[in-house]
Amino acid sequence: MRISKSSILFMFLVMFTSVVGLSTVTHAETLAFKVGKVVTFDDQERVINNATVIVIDGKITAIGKSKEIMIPAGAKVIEHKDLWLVPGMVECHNHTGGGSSDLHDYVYLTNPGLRTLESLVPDNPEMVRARAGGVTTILTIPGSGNNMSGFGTILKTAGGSVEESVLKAPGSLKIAQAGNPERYFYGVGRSFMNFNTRQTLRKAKDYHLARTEWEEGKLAVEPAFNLNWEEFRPLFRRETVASVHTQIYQVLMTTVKMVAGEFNIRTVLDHSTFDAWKVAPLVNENDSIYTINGPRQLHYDRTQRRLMGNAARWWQGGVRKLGINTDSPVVPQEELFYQASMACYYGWKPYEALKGITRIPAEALMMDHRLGSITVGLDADFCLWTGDPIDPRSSCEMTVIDGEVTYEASEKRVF
Amino acid sequence: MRSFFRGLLGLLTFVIFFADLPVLPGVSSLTEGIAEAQDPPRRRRGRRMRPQVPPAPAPEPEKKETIAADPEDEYVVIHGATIHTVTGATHRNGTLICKNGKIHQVSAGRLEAPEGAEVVDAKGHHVYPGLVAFRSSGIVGSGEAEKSQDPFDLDTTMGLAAGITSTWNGSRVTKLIHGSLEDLTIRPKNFSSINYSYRNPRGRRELKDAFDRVQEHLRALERHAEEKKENPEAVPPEDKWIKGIFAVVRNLLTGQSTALVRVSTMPDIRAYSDLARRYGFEIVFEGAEEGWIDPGVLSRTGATAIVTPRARRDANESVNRPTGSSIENAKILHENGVPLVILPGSTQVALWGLAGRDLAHLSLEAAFAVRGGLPEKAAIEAITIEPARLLGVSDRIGSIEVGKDADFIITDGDILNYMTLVRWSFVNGKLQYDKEEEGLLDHIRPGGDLDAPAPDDHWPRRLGDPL
Repeated sequence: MRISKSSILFMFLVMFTSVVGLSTVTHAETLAFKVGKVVTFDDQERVINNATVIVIDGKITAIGKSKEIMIPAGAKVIEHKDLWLVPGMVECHNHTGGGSSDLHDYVYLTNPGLRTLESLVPDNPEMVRARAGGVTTILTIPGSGNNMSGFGTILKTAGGSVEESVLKAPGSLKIAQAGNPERYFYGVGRSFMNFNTRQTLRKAKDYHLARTEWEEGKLAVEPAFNLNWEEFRPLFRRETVASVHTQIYQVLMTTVKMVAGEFNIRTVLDHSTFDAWKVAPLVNENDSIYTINGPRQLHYDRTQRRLMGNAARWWQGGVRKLGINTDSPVVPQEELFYQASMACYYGWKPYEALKGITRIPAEALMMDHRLGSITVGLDADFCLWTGDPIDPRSSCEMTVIDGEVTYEASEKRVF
Repeated sequence: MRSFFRGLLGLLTFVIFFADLPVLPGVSSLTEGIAEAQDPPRRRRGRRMRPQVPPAPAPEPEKKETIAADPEDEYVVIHGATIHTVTGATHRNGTLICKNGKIHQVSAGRLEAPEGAEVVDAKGHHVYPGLVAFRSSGIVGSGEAEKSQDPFDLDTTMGLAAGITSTWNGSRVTKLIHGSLEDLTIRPKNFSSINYSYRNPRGRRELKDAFDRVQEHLRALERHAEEKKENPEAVPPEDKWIKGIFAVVRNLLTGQSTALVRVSTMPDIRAYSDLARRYGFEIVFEGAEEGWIDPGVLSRTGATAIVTPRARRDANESVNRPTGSSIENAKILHENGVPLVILPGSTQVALWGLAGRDLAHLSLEAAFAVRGGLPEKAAIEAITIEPARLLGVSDRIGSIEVGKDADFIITDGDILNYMTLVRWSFVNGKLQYDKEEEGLLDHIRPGGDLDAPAPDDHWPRRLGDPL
């Protein structure tokens, strides 16, 4: 196994840093972006032509028509009248935050205490490509080879160190129901896996409740600290989410009933493919569920002899908290936009699809107060495109993360 | 009504595939009868839904003002579409007339349809030559497709739905035709594979020796031809040894075949190019991910490049020169005069779910080349006329020109757009795919409607549906 010096350094950094703080880098520069069009995905869903966006200290401070926006003195003006400014894309299901080698630890069928935070390699080549494809934030999660493979990390695709790039850890709990964990070893079927998932969540919840009672002074003796269950506590407080590998409608029903229902966990339905859209009405009953579809955008329905677009069918089923993922490296991270193109080819709508890779995943990860739209006060994470970002012919010309230009196609076009 | 037709379809399928087994002497097989019929049975299902193509009326000889058509001739006329001929002009609101499977007339403006013609009103649509997939697996039969093709294969229909009307199956350029085993093969095409990679030093030496020996043999043959003029008794040089790799090399040196090699790195491209220039043979590079680094090598060699524009090859940081893939590869090669053919990463039709990287999205792979700066015209050429040229069939297919085969597609938009779907595909002047009838994609934007309702599911019923 090859371990580079820098990754050892990162591992030590992470091991000795018990609490990972939010990005503390200062951005003294004031930037003014004068562009042809801004697709904001803000609360009013504004699309503004000939617009200016002002960025101070890495945050968006003003948006509006160019003739109405005052450019602060000393601001660096970046003018591209022919380009679109679109929020940085947010990937809900990524495995390349640690490069592409460290995907998974197959220790037990449930390894809930593990964290991808320990294996991050910021600014790895996959992140360079991600930026070139307009992706500014990813949730990097463990693989789906076991029922519960640990906690994911939400990080920006820029930043030279773990401290600089990590936004939230734990970012989500990875649960895998059916499919891949069935290959763990002979005899693991859905009955056992659902028992196992329920049992593990139950133990974690008991731990959380006991610790909470002790914190509130209701217990005389402190319950023993347990690293296996500690990260679950924000999950049960609904401060973080569960990313559930779920697909095929029967399995998706157990996800909705057990994870989102019985345990009251904020649930993101990752994959949600094959014919999972058949249970759209069940998903609609729970307002906090987000459906982030991918990497399969297509389901060939043999009974009907029809090619179904998964996203289109969810949409037709009335699901509106609908986004798209790549499962990178299954689909390369820079092709997140192309997953949206495919969703549209098979019947979805371009505006909704673009929202499904920006605002919607930001909401799904409970990060919409920082990401996902061009709104005053949010992180200045956006990209300049030569046109509709989900048209493969358009290209990302510039990527801005936390108010810093982190990719410029004019220097070296990566994608 | 729908279920009635579905039942009919099921019954027909049963009759064709299961009831056809005992063929008595002198009694012709049922499948033969079906294959000879004008329409394959599956199409009948949606015949009532085909408004633009009315059934051909019986010819009426007393009408005089239209073109006097021989009732034996089969005409297809496309009205109102934007016709992209690829090799010539683009006609807005043009007319395309096909006669007996060949392109008869292409024109701007409206031309009257000959009597008895099958007329398609394609207003607002675009006509392109059928796309040519340089390489494929599974969408046509192997070898001589007339003997191996399943005429009702789903992948063939998927290929037609993607706009592909011809492909090379490894030995022959073959058309995608539904429900018939006639007129499939255009002509055979062979490429030779040689291995001159740096990773195989011994193979390199042996190949070079073979070139030297065969070159010497060909010179000896020339000398023999001269000698024979004066001395008819002259003995020709021994050629029994020319087999295996020597036969491959002889075919290359005599221009009977073209070398087709899969290469990625610039050092490999240079090595093969040097060999091709030194001995004077034609070469085609498949992959050529690092071609952008020194495109002049390819253009000096006269090589064609078959590229996948978004192929990823990481840069090798341990060497002190440019390496790795570039999204600008297609553009740079094109700017340097290298003929370009575009292929997706997978040359199959993939129905297992990962969409957008297979033959079903050939045109979108070309769109990725545009992302890297390739002009749209060149991108379309790279999936139509350029592969046809490379396969030696550009006299028959690859563009819309009078006299060429009537292989064309009618799309609901710009072929490079990510929401464009093929509405009709024609091969040899016959309708081979009709989106509204075929069922595969009929529920997606019917008539361009973005908010079309979902198709009915039959099983399982969706939750909340009434019993």
